[in-house]
Amino acid sequence: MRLLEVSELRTSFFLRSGELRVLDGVGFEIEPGEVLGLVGETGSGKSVTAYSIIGLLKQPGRVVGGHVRWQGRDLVGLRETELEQDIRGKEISMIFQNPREALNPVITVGRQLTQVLEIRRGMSKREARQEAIKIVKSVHISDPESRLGSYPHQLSGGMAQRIMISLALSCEPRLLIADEPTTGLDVTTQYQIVQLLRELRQRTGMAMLLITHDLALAAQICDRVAVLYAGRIAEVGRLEHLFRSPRHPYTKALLASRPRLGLKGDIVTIAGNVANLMHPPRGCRFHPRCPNAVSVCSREQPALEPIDPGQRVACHNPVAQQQEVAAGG
Amino acid sequence: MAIEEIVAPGSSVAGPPPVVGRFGDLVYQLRGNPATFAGLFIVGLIFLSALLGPVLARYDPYGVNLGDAALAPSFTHPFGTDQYGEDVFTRVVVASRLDLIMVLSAVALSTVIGVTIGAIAGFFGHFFDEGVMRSQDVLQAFPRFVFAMAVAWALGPGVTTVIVATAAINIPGYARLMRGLMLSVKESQFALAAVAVGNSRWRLLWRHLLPNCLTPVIVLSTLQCGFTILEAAGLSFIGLGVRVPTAEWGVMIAMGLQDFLQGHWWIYTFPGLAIAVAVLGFNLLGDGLQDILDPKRRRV
Repeated sequence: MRLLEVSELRTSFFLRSGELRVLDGVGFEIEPGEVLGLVGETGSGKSVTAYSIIGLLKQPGRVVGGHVRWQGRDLVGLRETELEQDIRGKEISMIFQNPREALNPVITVGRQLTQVLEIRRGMSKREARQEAIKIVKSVHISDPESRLGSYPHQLSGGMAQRIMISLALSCEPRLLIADEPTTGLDVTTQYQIVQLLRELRQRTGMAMLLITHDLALAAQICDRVAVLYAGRIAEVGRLEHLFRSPRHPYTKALLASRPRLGLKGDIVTIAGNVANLMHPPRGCRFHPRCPNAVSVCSREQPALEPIDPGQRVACHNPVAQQQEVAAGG
Repeated sequence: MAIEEIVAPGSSVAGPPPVVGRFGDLVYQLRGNPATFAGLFIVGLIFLSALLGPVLARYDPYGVNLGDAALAPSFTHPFGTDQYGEDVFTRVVVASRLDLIMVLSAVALSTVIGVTIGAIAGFFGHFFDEGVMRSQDVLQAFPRFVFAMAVAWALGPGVTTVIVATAAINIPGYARLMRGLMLSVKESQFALAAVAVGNSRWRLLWRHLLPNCLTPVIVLSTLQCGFTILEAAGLSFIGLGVRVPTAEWGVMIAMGLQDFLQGHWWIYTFPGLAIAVAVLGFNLLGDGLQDILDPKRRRV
């Protein structure tokens, strides 16, 4: 059975100036043990997707349509208490960017960890302490006993993210949502965190939804990638297929705009701005910026349809399939 | 070999010994904070006299002896005696128990009620917030002391009256402070993260958000102890609180003023000084706690 199936998810923010359709029919699925990357520009709705899944949207945001099926059970419309008891932490957990701000500043990290273990897993104080040390060791924190006595501001960013990860893992969730987990960390630490996430996935068989704007990061860890543009999935497919042969012009432009070694001249950019979500363009939301646009694009919204094995694209005029990797790419 | 020559035998390169344990940490924090230490010393002294004063007193605080009335300070009566011949020093020391009980009860009462109101208003928002905070506005529309007088007048004189009246005027301050703190802290990233890893709303409120708001509340409470001493003494002074001849600092000042024209300055000066020192002690302690309680501002 599918672990998570998101279909036609619509989330809007109701502002004074009108309804902001941040997600407009997002759909994807995650199999057990799979790592799905959700990539897109700032403002494309990546984080809102995550918050919509586990019901953490804040006013004035609201899920207005669609389904989030967790092993067949629809999480949309589930009561807050049910989400608290059955889903968050236990089944789906989440880690954030800027880990130091995601930890409670006045409680030691050890206490934050043991609290969760005591409440959610019914452990005694001593058991919780033992377990906390074990978990913290498993995310490669040296000297765990003394580290557990630290306050978040005494930790480095990488250390804080490791603690955040151990918090998220403390109830052995089956899906970890990682919202830009390496943003705000320096490059070597980023690498270590990615290594850690990979290792944990190998060891625990946990699935992951990795939200990032960093294609290189997605390439290091994901099985499949979904590209989000202005609240819609533009293209979804296996990592190597998608990167080798992007069929949506937006994916192609996104890949072309990466900084690369040996690049001469300016980095290629995508002309124009991200679609205005208050008054999105008619038809395909990417068409004003699209080099492949044809007349139908401004009239009809393309559906997300299978194009290659395991790859689906929402485009009236997709890019031709590429057989070879571009040299030096 | 060279190193041993440079470092004289017996001298320590490592510096002072490491700080161990909670008490050790407290001592360490206080050493970097002499004003706080002074505040703690004064407050400790008041607690000590409240605890032991009545036991150790040489005279009966209510021992009327008209033969010794209104004696100036001397070795037998360090603070002199009042117009009934009662020893002023004994009465100042004994009064600390009643004053401390009134102050601590009033502050505890207003803190608990105010913090609960403010936390709920800030956390749940909407009509909770509006309803609760507008009612606090109404309370704050009256001048503080006039409001306390009205409450005290309605309840009639007595210890409970002083406690309720001084607590009532402080509740809106706590509610307002707590609501503001809660509004900012509930939007923080760690609040979101705490929910995301599986904490319930109630746990979030009590275990994560409330502790983050407590430092300013504790500091305010300590400072409030000082002001409440003034207000409690004030109510008793004008006759709405504790009554003559109870040994209470405000009452004693009021009694001294009856003899003001005779020049018996010691009857009202020493209880007045006791109030001033107590207020100073609580204020110094309150300011210092601000530094010690904040994990980011304490000495490392």
